[in-house]
Amino acid sequence: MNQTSQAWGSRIGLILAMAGNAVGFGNFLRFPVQAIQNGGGAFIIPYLVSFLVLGLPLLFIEWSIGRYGGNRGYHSSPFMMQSMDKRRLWKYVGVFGLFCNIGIASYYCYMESWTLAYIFHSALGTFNGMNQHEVVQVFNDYVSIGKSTLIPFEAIIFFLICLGINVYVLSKGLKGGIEKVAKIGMPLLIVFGCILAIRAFTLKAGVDGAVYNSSEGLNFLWTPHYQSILNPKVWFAAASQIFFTLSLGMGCVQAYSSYLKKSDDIALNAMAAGWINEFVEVVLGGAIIIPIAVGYLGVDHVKELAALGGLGLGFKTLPYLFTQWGNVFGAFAGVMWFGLLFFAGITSSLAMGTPIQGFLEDEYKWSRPKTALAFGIIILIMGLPTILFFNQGVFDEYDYWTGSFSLFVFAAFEAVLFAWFFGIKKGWNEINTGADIKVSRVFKFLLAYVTPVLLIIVFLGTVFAPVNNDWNEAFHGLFRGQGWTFDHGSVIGKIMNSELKEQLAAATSQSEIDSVKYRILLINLSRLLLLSLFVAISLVVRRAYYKHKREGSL
Amino acid sequence: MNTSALILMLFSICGVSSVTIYFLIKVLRNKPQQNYDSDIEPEEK
Repeated sequence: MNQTSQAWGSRIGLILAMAGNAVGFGNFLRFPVQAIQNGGGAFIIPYLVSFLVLGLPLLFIEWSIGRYGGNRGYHSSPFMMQSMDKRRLWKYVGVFGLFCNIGIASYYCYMESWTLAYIFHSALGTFNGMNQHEVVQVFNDYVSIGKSTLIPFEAIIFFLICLGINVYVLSKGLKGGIEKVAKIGMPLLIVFGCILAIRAFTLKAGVDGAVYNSSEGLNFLWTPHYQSILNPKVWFAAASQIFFTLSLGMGCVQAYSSYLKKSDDIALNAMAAGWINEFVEVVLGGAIIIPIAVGYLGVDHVKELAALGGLGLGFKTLPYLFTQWGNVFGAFAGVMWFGLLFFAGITSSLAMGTPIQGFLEDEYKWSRPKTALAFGIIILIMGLPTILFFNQGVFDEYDYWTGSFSLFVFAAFEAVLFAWFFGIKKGWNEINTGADIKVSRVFKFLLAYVTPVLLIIVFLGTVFAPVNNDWNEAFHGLFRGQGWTFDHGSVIGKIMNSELKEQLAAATSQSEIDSVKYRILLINLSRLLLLSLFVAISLVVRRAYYKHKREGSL
Repeated sequence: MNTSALILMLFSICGVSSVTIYFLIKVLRNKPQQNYDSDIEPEEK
């Protein structure tokens, strides 16, 4: 069995690191936008149901797989999964647990570096005196490499700084690095979030340039449209949000829990970490961005901005709105907002490095600093295309295949492995070994039947999503003999490049045609790069498998 | 704020906060587990 020198220093450190892994940009930027687009306050119903029937069972599964594998000397998913069932397929399924982390970290570290840059600019007062258009332009220039920025090639410089910080912390190991950052970062994130939430809740029309009271934004976010619950689209949105917010189907949770001993609790730890994430998302995530944006811009404008995604609201709109609070408090608010996003980001990106480090340590006996450096180099190579071709959609392409599609595939497989191959009886025992709380037997039923089936449905839903995600209309159309039109965001729509082909057909000038063709080329190349990465990891895992076989250690 | 939005918001915020605090208190009140590095008390000589 492989031995590791790594261990968690304290239980609260582990829980904060796990919660930090889950808490990310999505808690503050994605959740409120999903809520206003999917039934307002009524979204909380499918969201919490998804948390109970999908999120918590999957957390139990991932914590259990991790501790089970860790106690057999494996700290990344390929051989953790292989140790639970002897079929050779599982180690290749486990490749997703390395692939997702590299793919996601490649663009996530870039986003994380935006927050560092925006802390710097907020503190410097760059946005003071700018109008909204100028603040938007700062972001657009920032992501367009070569455009004039305060520091030349700012995006690349901050990316390198951010990557350097990640490598340094990872090189210090679990107790001396990740746990320390979580113990400082998570409380600070909550304090910053609470201060901004109080400021958002106390917005008054006519004060500091606000046009509406905070109640306007809160009404917009929380007024329930109960009829939306009948729409499958809302349930898919809620299930997806639970996935992203808990960092499920990535292999990070397994890697963190693989450093637990056999008698350590996982049931209470998983509950505590999962609920801290929910607190940050529902209580803080719902209290900042929408009330502030609506207070200044009104519901209709925010609806338009939200349709473009939460990133725009967070990076293009809020920096401008903070300047309305005066030079000093505005700068302070900017530092707090991007500071909390930075802590949310770094606690997640550190978790993405851990499975890679675990694999390299297990298979090649590399030291922690060496594995951290290797992770940094891989992310630098894989991350550069997302920086250089951000405006051509490479960033979004990485996000789709590694941060969305792969998560569903991996989670569906691990739920099936745990419940149907490893066996629910053994699985249930694993969850309850060392448990400090009595886990309701309802979860046994959910784990055995509901969660795997739901995950398969969610996965199929992403593959075959109909146009506008309107399932009701799609099924009616199908029964009327009108066929099935795939949404641009469905897996099939993506593979077919349907959105870009539509743009190509609508292009009127040669320059427009060339631009779309160039985008298609870059997007196809980025897919090829990701596919090559998956194949390369599979080959490395295959080699390690035969090495284990020869040594009789599997 | 309209009543239905206010009720739903308060219900969600109070509900999620209290469950989070409940589990955190449960963690803190549990006896330290000997397996974590800093929870291991030095042996008496």
